[in-house]
Amino acid sequence: MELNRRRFLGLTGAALGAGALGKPNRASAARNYQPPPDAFGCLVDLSVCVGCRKCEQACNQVNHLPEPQRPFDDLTVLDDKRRPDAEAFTVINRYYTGRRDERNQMAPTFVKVQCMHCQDPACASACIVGALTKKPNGAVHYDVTKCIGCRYCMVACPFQIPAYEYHDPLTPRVRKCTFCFERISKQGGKPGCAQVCPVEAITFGKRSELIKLAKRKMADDPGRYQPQVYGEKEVGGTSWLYISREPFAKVGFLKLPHQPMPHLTETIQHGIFSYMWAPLSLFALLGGAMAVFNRKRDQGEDKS
Amino acid sequence: MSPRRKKFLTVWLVGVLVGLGLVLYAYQGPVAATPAAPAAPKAFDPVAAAKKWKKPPPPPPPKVNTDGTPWVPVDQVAALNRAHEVPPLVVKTLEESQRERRLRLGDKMPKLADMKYPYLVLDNPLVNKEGDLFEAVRFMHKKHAAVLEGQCFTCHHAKPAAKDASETTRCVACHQSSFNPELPGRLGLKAALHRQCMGCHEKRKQGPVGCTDCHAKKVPDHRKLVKLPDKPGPLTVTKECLRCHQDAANHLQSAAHWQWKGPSPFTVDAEKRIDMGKANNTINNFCVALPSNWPRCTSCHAGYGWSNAEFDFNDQARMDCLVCHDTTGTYRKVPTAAGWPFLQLDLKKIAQSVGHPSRKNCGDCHFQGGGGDAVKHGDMNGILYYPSKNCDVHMGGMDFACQECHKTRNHKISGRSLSLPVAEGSRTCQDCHTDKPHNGNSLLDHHLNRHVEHLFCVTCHSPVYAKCRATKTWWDWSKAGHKERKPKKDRYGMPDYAWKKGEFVWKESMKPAYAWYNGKVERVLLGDKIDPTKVVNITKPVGGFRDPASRIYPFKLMEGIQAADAVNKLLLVPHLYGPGGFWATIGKTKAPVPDKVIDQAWNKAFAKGMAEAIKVNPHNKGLKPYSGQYQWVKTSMYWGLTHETMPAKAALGCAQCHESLAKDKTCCRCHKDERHVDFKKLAHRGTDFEWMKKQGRDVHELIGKTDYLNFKALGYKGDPIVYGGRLKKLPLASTIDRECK
Amino acid sequence: MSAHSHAAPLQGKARFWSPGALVMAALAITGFMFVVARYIGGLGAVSHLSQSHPWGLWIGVDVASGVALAAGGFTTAALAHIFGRHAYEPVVRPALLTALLGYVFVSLALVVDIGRSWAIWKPMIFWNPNSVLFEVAMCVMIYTAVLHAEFLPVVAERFANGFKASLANRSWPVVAIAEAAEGLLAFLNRNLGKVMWVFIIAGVVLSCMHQSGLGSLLLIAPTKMHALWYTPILPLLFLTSAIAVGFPMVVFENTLVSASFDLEDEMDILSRMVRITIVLLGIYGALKIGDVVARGVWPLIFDGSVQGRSFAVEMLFGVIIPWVMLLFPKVRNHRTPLFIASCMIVGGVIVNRMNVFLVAFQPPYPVQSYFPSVGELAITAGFIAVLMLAYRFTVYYLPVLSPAGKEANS
Repeated sequence: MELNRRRFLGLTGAALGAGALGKPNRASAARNYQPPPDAFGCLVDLSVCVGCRKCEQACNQVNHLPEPQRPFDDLTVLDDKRRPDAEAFTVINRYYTGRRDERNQMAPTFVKVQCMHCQDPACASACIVGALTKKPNGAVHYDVTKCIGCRYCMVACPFQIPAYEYHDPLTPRVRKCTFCFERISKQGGKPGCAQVCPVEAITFGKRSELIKLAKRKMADDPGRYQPQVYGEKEVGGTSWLYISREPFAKVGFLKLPHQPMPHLTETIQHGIFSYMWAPLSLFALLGGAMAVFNRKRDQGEDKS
Repeated sequence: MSPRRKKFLTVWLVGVLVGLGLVLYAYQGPVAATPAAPAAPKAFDPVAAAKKWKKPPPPPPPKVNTDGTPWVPVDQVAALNRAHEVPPLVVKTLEESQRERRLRLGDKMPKLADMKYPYLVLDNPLVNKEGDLFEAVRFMHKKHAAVLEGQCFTCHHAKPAAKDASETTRCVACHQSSFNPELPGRLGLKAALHRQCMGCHEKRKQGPVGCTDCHAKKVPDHRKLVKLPDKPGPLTVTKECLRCHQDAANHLQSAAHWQWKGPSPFTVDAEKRIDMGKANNTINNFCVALPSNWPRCTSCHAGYGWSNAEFDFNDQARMDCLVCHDTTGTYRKVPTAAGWPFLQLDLKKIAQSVGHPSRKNCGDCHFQGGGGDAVKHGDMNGILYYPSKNCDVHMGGMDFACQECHKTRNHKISGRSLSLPVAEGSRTCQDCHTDKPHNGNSLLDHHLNRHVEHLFCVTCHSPVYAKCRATKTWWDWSKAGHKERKPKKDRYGMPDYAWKKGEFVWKESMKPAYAWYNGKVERVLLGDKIDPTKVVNITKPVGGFRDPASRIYPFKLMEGIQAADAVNKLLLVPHLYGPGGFWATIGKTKAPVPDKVIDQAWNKAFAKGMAEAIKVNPHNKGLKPYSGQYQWVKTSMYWGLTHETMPAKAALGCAQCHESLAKDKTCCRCHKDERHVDFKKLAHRGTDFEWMKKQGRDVHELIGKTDYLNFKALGYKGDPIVYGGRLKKLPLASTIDRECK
Repeated sequence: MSAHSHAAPLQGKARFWSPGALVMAALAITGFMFVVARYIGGLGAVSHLSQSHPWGLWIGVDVASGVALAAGGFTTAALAHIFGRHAYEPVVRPALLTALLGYVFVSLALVVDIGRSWAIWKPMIFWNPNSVLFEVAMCVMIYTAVLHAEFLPVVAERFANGFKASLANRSWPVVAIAEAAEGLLAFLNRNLGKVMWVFIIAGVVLSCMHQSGLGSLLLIAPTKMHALWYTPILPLLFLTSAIAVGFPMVVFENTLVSASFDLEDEMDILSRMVRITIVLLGIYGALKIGDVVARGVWPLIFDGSVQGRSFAVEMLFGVIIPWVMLLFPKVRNHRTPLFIASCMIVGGVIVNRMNVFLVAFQPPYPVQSYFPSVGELAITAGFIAVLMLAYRFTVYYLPVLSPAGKEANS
């Protein structure tokens, strides 16, 4: 009895250990995701944005969203910090960082918030049915026909972007910026917000070009910008990029790791499930144990 | 289960179900109570009145000039044509700093005088493609250049690399479509314009930066938005409008166009009052006053059915949205039906094509004040629907809509008048043209800009009023009632008499009355004591020669004879229109009408008129019921002239006012005649009354006239160049006899 | 593997509608009403779920805790069948039933929780192998099927004979169907035993996979998780805690059932069983403590925050104290202290799952803080009540329990 228990425990431990050890070893081999090389992006220059909310309005129009409670030309909504929701895929927030203009007035910084369209999106990795996918043109696209409404994407998103239609009893959708997928799929198409922006605070183009442009802007106007292109490296890179005069932490941006969010989970998943080696080994191990223990019992019963 | 437990469970279950029901009920909101239909006004049925009016609604004014040729706002069309050009894209620009550029150009720097296009419209298909939320922007190119003191490179920041390219190449040459992958970082036209404008305005803390400070919002197509049954009534239309625009109704509810009264910040002794207006206590020497005459007068009210003192101004369903927002040009109100529109109009179609007001919407009331076209205002009449550039440079040359100057916020329309106390904001020429409006940077401009402290712009820039259509300048009510008297046509084709109204004088291209004016107005209101032995100034501008805030303004002086209470010494309100009114009483009588009958009719009209006036002014202690005795008094009213400004070249010239410059010796007395300027020609430039006469204008009296303003009448000793200015001595007097070299 | 031996239905031996059962029925009806409300007004009408807190009580308790507490099924099956400890067989069937019902109700809770309930089948068609949730869903689905297979002998045993007899005087189609059903059941009854080993091992493998998988779920959101819980070994912690809670859960339900039906308990089996728990819980506790120490985040426990206190409660009352208690034979051998210790372990796991899914989840832009609404609580309570009623119903009519333990002991 004592011996058996010890052996049982040992086996359990071994099985667990094998599972645990298997993970890192397989990491590099298992996950070979490459972000789309030709993805579009948008570069938002926060030092240019005037906070007019036209992007919100254009977004509302091109996505056929319901009319908001307060009209788009009511700039007092900026008094509150808002988040994108099921009826507004993008919002502008206003921050006072303490910077003062020539007249010694507090100078506002406006920040456009929308889906960042990660290069390696956590939501797409998380989605149980693959309703969210990273498209070659850069958009993280939502396919409502697959969605089951589990909201794991919302849990996974590091930017807290996907929103949910909580008051729809049967067909709620996850709602977020579409990157105007249909529009930018067409030749010369532009996202609604970027197109309408009166000051081109948003520049639309190839992501790789935009990073170059951002760096050039920084070099051309030394001291104007923080030396960081937000979204170049964050969570493995995002299609939406930001440059700012103010420190990003002061204007509502999160400090995020450079490693893509799905890295750990997918490494574990692929580590365990490549060729189903881990479950199959465990199955074999337990089968063996069962054979051993039951033969012993049969013998024991014979004796009694 | 025991019966007790069963009972307990049943009660519990029923309770939960009821609770759930209540929650659902609350969730959906209580069933909206159907609003009771607004009670029809007892005495007056506007629909019946509208039916009684047999004539069809007048057609929209034709879009033609007075000679029948198609009307074209020339400057606007030219600017738009230029704006719509898309030149070939400039790819390469010269890489140089502003310093290098200045060095390269030396004294070949572009100058203000080189400017070819003083007025631009910022409108381009490239921009419209990107978004259609706003209308195009008018851009005063020359004014900007003047403010920047000719620093063209502030905006024209780069030059195309091509050798022969202009130093002041236009924006669209380099800035075209946004996000051109070939030119990363090159701004599109829309962003280039916005950044240049807003950036500079912000930097200089001067100029507009909000969207609607420059643009008008585009009105979305209402064909799909407006859902109405066929043949809707006006109240149904309003209800449909308010479905989306409830805030508009809330704004209008406190606005002057709905209340016909409001704040009177510019009326002497009533600066803090907010309850004065046509609705209750103003009086004039045209149709006199509103009380007792509602259905006729309120045909210009932005509402339906204001037919007596009991009208409910809280009833938003009675607001008339279409009268201001119709864009078909067909909407008209029946002249006698308390604001009710013509019954034969297709209100559904009109409601589905609403938009920003045009001159037509405003003009249908404001051009027609006093009972007909051009009657009341000296500077507003039906010509302004489609005026020539010479008649009004803004509306005719550049197709201005009224609200482009009369800035409107929340249905409060800025602008003020002498005739009415209500003002919801004030506008002046300088709001756009700055305090130094003569921006040519020349010697002459320098002198002209010094006039701004003493003269209102229109004083020079519109030397005559009613220049294209005659306006009424005299109205004698005491002659009314004689149905037998045949009206004669004057030289403008206007009748000199109407039995309903009395005797008139009309005048076209009239020289204004000039007076010092500091913005304040003295008024005689209902209930104010008058002295019948003198001319009663119903409205009078406040100001004086020594008042630095006063400037010389042009006015239409309206004079006439109207009734006053001989006992109470009050101006009287006659009940003219409607049953028992003066017109109805005389109308029933056969011509010739005996004086006694007219006298009785007046007595009846004044009794009723004063009774109704008291009803709408319950707190007015001065108002007294009609004593039974009336007398005729002479009254006058000053009406401000701000519209019909003429092109710059038609402004009064120096010599037309300054006698001292009319002779041979002109500017050369101070300035050495060494510049390439012909002083004499300069001094004599200005309004050409000869030319105006050839155009058919009645200006023969004005030809060759000098001392146009009549300096002595204004308080000067004479020509200020000779006798000195009003506030300081001009250094010119001593030079008056100096010889020119 | 057949365990026909001693188990028998409780029908006739005890009252079904005890006061407790009535309370459960009331809770179930209340919960049902809120479910109706959820299908009228949407999730927003009954829950406090928000854009910042997409997962709430239902995921933390109904799903994560539900799955963890159903671990009794596979641990006892492994113990009795794989490792040949047949003495534990009397508790296998009830543990199996707990697991089976547990998973059925996890699935139902998910149906309510996901927005598009009718689309719950879609993961079977649309696969995203990168998704941890997909793995969990697949395992849960297959494992639920496996549990049904494992439980089938119980049904077969009950109905193998006597279906036909009870329907003898009905019309012929009914009789024919009954005959066919009886034939099938009899066939299964005869042959299931031969392949049952596959299901048993598969059950254990699948359980290991998805128990750990549940832990991996939140690994995708490192920036949103409190450091006390966010650890790369979270899957391992979930697995070890699930294994550790298996036997205490058996103790818990066994004690409850025997109390409710007034049966004699199986203290000898349970006491022996929890000796293994000392090791399993020890492993879990050691991993957990080792983890916070190795990552150097342990000072956060004492920073006075809600999270720190929750972690302390979880570890102290859920792991350390019950573990120490179990070291004492006095505790192990006596019904009440053993029940208390088991309750603490079970509670500890529930608290752990709630901590991971609710307390540790800190959205960067909290729109509103999350606390379960009345609706969420009522629906969760309703599900637990239905589960207990279903358990009661099943043991009432099917041979799950070995009543009175008389035959077993003899």
